[in-house]
Amino acid sequence: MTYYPDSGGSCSHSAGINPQGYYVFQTQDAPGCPVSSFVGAARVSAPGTVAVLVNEKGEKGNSGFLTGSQSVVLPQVRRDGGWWTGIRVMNADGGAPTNGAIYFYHPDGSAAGSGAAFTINSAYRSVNLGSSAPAGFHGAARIVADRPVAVSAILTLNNSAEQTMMYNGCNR
Amino acid sequence: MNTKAAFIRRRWPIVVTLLTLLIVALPIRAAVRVQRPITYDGGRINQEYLYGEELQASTHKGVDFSYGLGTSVYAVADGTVVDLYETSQNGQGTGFGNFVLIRHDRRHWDRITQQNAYVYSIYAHLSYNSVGPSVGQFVSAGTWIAEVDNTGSSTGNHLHLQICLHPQSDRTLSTLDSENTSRNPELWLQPFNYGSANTGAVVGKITDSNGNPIGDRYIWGLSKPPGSGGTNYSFSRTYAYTWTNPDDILVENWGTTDVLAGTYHLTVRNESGSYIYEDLGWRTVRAGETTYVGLYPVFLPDIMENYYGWNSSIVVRNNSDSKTAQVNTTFFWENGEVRTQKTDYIAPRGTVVVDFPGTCYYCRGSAIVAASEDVAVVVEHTNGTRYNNYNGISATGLDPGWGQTGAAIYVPLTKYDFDGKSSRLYILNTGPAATDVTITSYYSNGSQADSTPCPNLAPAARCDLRPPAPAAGRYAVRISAGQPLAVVVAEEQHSDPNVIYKVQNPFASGATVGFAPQVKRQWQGEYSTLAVQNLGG
Repeated sequence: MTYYPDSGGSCSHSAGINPQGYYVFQTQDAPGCPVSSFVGAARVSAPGTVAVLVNEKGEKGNSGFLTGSQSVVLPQVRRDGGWWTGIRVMNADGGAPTNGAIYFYHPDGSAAGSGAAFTINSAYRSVNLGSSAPAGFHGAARIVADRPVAVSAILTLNNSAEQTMMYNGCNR
Repeated sequence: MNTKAAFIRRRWPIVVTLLTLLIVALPIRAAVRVQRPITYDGGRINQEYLYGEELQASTHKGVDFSYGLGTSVYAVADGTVVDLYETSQNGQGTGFGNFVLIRHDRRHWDRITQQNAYVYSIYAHLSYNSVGPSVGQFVSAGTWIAEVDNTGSSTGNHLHLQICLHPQSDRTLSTLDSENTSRNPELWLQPFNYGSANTGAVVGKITDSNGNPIGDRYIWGLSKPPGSGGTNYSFSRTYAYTWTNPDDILVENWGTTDVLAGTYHLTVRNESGSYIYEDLGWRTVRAGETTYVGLYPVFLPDIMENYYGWNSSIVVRNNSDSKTAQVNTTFFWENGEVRTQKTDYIAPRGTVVVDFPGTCYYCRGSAIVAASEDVAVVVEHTNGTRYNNYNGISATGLDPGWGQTGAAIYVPLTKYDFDGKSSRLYILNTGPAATDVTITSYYSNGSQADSTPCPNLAPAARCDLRPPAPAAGRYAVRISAGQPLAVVVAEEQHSDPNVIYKVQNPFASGATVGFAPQVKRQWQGEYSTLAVQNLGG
């Protein structure tokens, strides 16, 4: 398990897992890795097939991605009525940089704005594109990039942990 | 609330639901595969006159089995003989000639009348005085009922099989045939399996830019074993008339079975094949399974309406840049019976929130979104205080990046009374046949902790349960079945299952790498855990 902060160096942990068994990597238990006040991405690699569930201490979690895509769809993005949507885009390729853009669409399919470009300079790093959504927006988003990316959306109402949802972008 | 009280509180609406269903209906399900009416030679279908095709300005409402005089005919499912005729001589009579009409025990959702309907099967052109059972007699699936002949409007020895739906139980053949009741038998029959010729079904939809089905298009590229009567398959054809009924859940406009397992390049052409309207790309057909082409079913294992304050919203995004998507959403009770259905249209790149069609209290079950374009779906639950969500689960073969339906599903981490929380699995059978489901839990070292069955899960039926656990703790889980499953995992308060913290999507497959775009440690009070399950062994 390798952790990639938004800035700074990466660090890793390893664990042996028997067939059908599991291991829980808990960020707060490992001394110094990741560092305190860490936010970023993680990549797990194994010699055999694995599956990964990601949970936060609060009331949200999602599945890890097995593959990235150069086109990812988010059906639900909100920046209205007290809602905020974090959009975490991770370079899932290993090469860098990743250049891309995020486009927003109203429910009738029309474009909301002209899109916002982004760049991820290093492999497996992530950026948060939540602030790219237009104020008052409620619709969908599509991320396109020149390398495969994995995208998670985190919806929060009034900054409340109980009113937070997290889902995976749909690779397309 | 203590555990027992919570259990009772959780279960009583289900008891009410079951009692209601016992009063009003026999099981009403999505299309469930039935036996072939002919066993000789595997019961091959005549491949040159399929459902929905035209002959003399009339639509073929069934399929034919072209076999010799005297070939035995069997009931395709349990039911009661409600009408028959057997006094036409060979080569004589009109219409169906000698026939048997069976009303089956199973019921099915009827999209036309938006209510529960009886399933009928018609067996036509039978031999003079050959019908075994009498009117009113119960016959079980596989019961011999008559012999093949050439009576009525027929040009050669064959059996005509027709599947019909009607809300009333008193239909005779003449009333059924005069009404718009037929369905495509190819989507009801078990795929042909003769020797090594293992086959599957293909169901599709060809639409215009407004999301409406287009008739008289020819789908080229599939391959089948030879049909009965020396016939050979050339192509499939979209239903020529708007009154040619599709399946009531999938709402396709073409569908066929007995397709040889393999990978095919499909194109939409004119009848001669000289003009290509659309390139459908490559599709893989697997034995015993259904492949979707231009049709995008998404399975939603948990949907709530006024369920202890919880309600669900289904957010559907049309991923097409150019075509409107027709979206048919069917809501199911836990036992796989249809509750209701609605249709929406979504503009290219647009989004729709599928709202609930009526007031239903203490209602919980599943849903299937069947769209004419590729869609991305997210389900949101809220009780006004808490919110959680999950991704819709696709069966199209288009990889969303985290998993799809599968006959084996892996959950890297579940809880049983761990920190006051427990997991709950919502397991939906997405296949066309009932299946036994086994849920096995594992300790962190990979040794088996416990196992429990969810037996005989009907198509579109759902099993919800906490993972088997010998004691409070955390476990990895593997869910296996004989049909593809769609599964989500909720985390709830152990003592009160109506306090739902989160819902997550497990995996139908694994990989040697995995990605987590957002991970935290002491970031605004949050930290992350990443549970990794080894799927090998």
